Amino acid sequence: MKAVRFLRLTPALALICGTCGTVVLSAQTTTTSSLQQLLDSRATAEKQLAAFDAFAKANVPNSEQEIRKLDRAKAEALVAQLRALAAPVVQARNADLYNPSALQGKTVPLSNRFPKLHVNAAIRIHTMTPSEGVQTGGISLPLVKPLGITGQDADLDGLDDGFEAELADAFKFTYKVSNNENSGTGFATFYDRATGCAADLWPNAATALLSS
Amino acid sequence: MQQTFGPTPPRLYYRVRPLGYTIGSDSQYYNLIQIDYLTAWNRDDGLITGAGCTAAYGIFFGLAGVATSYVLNGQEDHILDNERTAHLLASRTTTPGVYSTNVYDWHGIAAYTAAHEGTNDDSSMIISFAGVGDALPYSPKLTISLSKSKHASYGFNPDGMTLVPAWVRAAAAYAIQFITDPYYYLIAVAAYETTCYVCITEKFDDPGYAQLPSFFVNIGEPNMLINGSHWIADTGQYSYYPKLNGYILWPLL
Repeated sequence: MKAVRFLRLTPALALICGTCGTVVLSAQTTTTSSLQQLLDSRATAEKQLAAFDAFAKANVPNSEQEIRKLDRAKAEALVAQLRALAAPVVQARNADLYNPSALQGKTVPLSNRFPKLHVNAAIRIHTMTPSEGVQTGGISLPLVKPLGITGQDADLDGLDDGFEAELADAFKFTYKVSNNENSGTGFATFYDRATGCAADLWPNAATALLSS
Repeated sequence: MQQTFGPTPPRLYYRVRPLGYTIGSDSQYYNLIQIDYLTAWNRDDGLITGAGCTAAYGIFFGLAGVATSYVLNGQEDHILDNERTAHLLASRTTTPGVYSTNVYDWHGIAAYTAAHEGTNDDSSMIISFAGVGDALPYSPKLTISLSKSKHASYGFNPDGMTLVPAWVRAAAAYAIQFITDPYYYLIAVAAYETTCYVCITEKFDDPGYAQLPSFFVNIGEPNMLINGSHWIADTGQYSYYPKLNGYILWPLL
């Protein structure tokens, strides 16, 4: 995968500065980090599971009646093939490679300044490239609204509000929303207050739903 | 909640976050910005098992199977459904940390499509367009598909994609290996396949067209909210606050 390849070729990892809220990047990390090894092992394990699933999907009849119709020799041959495909899955499962929490709390050696990157749930993310079935509308120019620089930075993040609006507009995605959503389900706007969003929605049902 | 709208056209809030800088594959400095696009739904209607699941379970387990499919249907529904996608942008610079305000200096490097973010069946993905420093004149305009009922985001049609986490599927495959009778073994495999690839899957009825959002509001930063966006700071269950305060571990960083 491109992202993983890039991570290997360009030895730069994110260092998170918790106090200032910014990410600083370093070129001082090792290329064979424990994180990379874990990611590689997980990727291999998932491919092995996918191979088992794909074979089963393609070859195992989807009802008990159909399965019972198979003669015993054929059923046994099918099982032998499935067992062979399952062997590495069982091995990886025993090595805890499918468990996402196995990665949590691991630390990765980085630079001297920020020695550790704490791995969190985000490590479960898969990576894929546009060539793997991703839908795009092709390469196009950003759609820029002429908003311009306003000289204001209301959220105090160092970026001009007008620039933020322009950039967000230029790089926004297009969306396909599934047909046949339930009646009453849709996008919402909210009151300008920090509590009670759920209670605003259904005052009587909110507590029951959230505790269920 | 102030007002509910229909599911189309999509309505977005956004947040633009400076991320610092990196060194690209061409040994030049690049500033990085992450834009979060928030799709705030009034509710998540839960898992949809579908007629295929009911039929398949009925064949395997009789009436108990049909009942199971009905029990599974609508599981994990909840009020509020705060979903998001994100775009990582890079701009070449000679002064790291000083961000160009010319939109045309910025290029899309990767996208993050959140799906069941932070849950056991987290299917979030990072779609990598290019490495920092790779030649890429303009960003691909990605089309995000929002799944039916659960509203998870994907860069492709997710219909039929399993929501059973790999560790659960691996555990099931492991358990099946203890069955010695070949017929029971195959029945178990078929039941496993039906559960994982027919019943507990993402559903998406493709509308056949993509839309641009109709509503676009900057929320500011989670700790400095603007434009009437203090609802972001609601720390109740399913809130945006922890997601926006955390970091996406972009693999290229």
